[in-house]
Amino acid sequence: MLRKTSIDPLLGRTNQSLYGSGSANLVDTFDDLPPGIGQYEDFHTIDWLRDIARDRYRHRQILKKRQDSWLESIKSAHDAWSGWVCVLLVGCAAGVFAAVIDIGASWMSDLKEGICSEAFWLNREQCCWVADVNSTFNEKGCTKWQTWPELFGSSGKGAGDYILKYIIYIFWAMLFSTLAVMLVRVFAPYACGSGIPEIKTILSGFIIRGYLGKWTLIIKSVGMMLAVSAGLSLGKEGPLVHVASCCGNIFSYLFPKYGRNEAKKREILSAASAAGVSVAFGAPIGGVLFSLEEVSYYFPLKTLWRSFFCALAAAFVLRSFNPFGNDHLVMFYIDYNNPWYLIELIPFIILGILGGLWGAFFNKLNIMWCRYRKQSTLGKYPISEVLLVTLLTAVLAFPNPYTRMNTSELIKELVRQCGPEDEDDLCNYDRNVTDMMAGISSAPLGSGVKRAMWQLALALIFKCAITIFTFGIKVPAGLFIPSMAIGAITGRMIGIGMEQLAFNYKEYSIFKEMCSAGHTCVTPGLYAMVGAAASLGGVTRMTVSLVVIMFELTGGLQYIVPLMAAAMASKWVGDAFGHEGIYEGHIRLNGYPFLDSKEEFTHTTLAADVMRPRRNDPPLATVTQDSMSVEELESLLRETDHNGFPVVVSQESQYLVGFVFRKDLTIAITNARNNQDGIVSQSIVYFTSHVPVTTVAGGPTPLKLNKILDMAPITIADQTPMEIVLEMFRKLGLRQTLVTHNGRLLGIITKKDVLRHIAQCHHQDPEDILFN
Amino acid sequence: MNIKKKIITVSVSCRNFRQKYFNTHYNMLSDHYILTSVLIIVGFIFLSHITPVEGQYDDVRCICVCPKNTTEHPVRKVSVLDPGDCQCDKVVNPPNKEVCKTCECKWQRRNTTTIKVVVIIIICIMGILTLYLLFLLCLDPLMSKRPRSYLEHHDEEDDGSVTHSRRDVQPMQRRSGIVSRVKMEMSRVKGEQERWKQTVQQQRRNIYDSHTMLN
Repeated sequence: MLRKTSIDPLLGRTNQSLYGSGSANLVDTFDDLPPGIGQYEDFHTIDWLRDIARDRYRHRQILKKRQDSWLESIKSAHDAWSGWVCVLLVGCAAGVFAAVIDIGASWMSDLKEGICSEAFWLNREQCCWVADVNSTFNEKGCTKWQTWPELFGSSGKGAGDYILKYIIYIFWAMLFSTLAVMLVRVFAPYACGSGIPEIKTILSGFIIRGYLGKWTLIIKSVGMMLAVSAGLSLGKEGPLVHVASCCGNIFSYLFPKYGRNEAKKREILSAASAAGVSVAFGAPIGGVLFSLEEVSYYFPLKTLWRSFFCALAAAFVLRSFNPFGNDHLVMFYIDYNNPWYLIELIPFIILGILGGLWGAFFNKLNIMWCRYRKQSTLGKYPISEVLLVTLLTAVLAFPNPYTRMNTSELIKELVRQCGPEDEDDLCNYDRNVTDMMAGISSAPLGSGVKRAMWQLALALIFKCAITIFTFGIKVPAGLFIPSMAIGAITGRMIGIGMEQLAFNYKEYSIFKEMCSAGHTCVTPGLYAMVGAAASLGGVTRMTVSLVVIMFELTGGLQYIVPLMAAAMASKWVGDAFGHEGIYEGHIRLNGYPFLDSKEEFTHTTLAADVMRPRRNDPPLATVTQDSMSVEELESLLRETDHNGFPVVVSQESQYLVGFVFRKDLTIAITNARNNQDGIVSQSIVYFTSHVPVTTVAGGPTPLKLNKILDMAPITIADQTPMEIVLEMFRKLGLRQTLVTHNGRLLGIITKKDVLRHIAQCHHQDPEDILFN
Repeated sequence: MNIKKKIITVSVSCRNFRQKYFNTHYNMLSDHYILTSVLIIVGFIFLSHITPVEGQYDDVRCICVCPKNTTEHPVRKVSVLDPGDCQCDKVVNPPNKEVCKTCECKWQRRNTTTIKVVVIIIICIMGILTLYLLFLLCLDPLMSKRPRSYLEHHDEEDDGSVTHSRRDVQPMQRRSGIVSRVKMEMSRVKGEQERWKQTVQQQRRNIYDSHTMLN
């Protein structure tokens, strides 16, 4: 966390000089400048230092005015609490969206199989929630829940009905996925995918306009429900982070402090992403840690507290909706607290290793497939691809009960403990219950468990294969749930194996204490939980937040050591096969300008090797402080496409004065031409605070632009090692730095130069970097 | 205790009330009997005025899970009771002390009204989006193809500077004010829609054509 807070110490300096609060003749403030100055264009990198300095300046102005009147003091109070109000609103909105999505997705998923005859808006579980009093209650259905063949008047049994069910299942799946992909394509193309790689990039200081907009929010929410209901191997948890971030972006516009300042807005977005995970998993603390560990780039303590509050508000709102009808925030809440034994750490670590292997395998294959899609003709048929994947999924998933059911429900089944009342296959042991009070104990496998093991094995293979092709198709799609399901299946199978091992050899000393009365030798559900954590850890390479999410998700506080062991093992194994998690992999694949702070840079290059201009390039485009005319500046703006220009004393001496951004310069000149009298093409532009009197008398009126000049650009010497330069870019959040030698300007290094250099050092094609 | 009862009974539906009245309180004539039933009635009236009672879709339940080997009794028994009365011998019929020792009872609640409202809202939103989608895919290309010259003229007006539109306002005012205002509003909306379409077009190019993002 220290590395993330280190932007602060430098700000005093930049702030003083950037807006000239030190100089006497500058009384007017930043507010006098034409609108648009200080904003960024699409696909640009923000300058953290400049934005935070702007906010400090604004804050000081408010403090100064506070004494003037009571109105000003109210304004100041409003300014002070607006951050908290904003995250409260964001949290509430995220909670509402999550509740709507949860309810909608579970209803539509069950719609594939049947409908509640008396109240169509209820899903199967809710439809049979209260069966007729004094009649049998069966979880698989009740008289009110009618499958489609039953609704059409047939008995619901027999081969013909099975085929009819099959066809209707496929029909609904295709309908839902068609709708999802078309909505995404027509209304909001940015709504596809998981969104976490892009949010990571945005939080690291990149602008993608429209990515967090209203349409994206609506289409992502609706599309997510449809995609999950279509039975595709994807989850709604990752996209919920995107949805929450959209809420964060939209609400930040209510508060100009955040809406107009990109760096400040990212504080709200960090909190929003915490709220997203909080509602996705019902894990408020896990959400905060996820924001800190996985997505955020700049995370000061203040943001930590706001994230905490935002996650809390979101979880509270979701809880009051009670979308699952079980008074918990999540579907898979476990209620057992069987002990675990030290010897079981071995299978837990094995699960961790398997999870790591799966993660490495999945990341490699999925990235390969996505690269193939990107570069081949397959990418030209996104809609057909989605429909094909859905068709394949539906056709293959229906025959197996474990793939036919909703993936969240599958995980719920797998992490559950078998109770005395359970009749399904997974709990079909050859039990001989004689004493009702003794509780349930281990027993040999019944035919049902054996069948379930076969089906689970097939489901595992199917899920592994189809997820690789599903993640990346053009519908809203998250990765958490399918990878957790894969881990949970593996875990349950190993758990059942372990249980039989312990049961059959219970006289052995290592198993002796495990099979005591009152509970089973081994809890297979716990293995499923650990397996889910391990495979999710292998794919995303999270550790701390993953463990916290898992224990909040399941409520099993005492299983924290097994979860930690598995998460660590899976991270080690995964890292051994490839350093990046799936999100970093997708960031690299798309070439987003993301400086990973986890990576180390070990090359011995110098700033002079990386800076522009290179040896054969034309000289650096610079602006002089007091000799260029408006016309010359305009032609400079026309002929070059640099995003900023260093200001020097004169072309001959090249002593550095400051730095001016292209957008600010364009706006200022246009504005002066339109509104200021006497500004013509021949007017000399001054970037100094003092304009010589002689020029005013004779020729055209001079144009004073010292207000848009950044007089304290970060500079480095040409002999600075790149390691240090990289650290500066990471820790200060720079957009560019100027390279000088003996105070003379030599060149410039931008964030993209650094990224290109890193790519070159890793022997990759630097042209992959997006938006060069 | 009374206050607690009141809060609970607000969420109990009609049948629940009757059952509670006959089964439970008839047997246990406690000191608070009269007061409690008054509160229940108040709660019931209060409830029936706000939401229509939804037949069988009650919002609370007491679910008792009994082991399956007690063959003469069903596995699960569900009944609508308030939390204080969620005990096995009130749910299992006929009451059986032996069986009930092994049963586990849980009281749960939900809100069907929320579910209903949410699902209906979702259906509405999806319906609207689907209709708009079909409109954009089928009708819009036809409509924009026909008046090409007209549309170009329109675009020019949208892009025009401030002075341009100011000049336009004057003759418009001479004519009927409302019509012109509606027209201006419509052209503004049209312009907004046009801009939105272009943004989406650009996004589509990034993703589906040049594959620079979200792959």
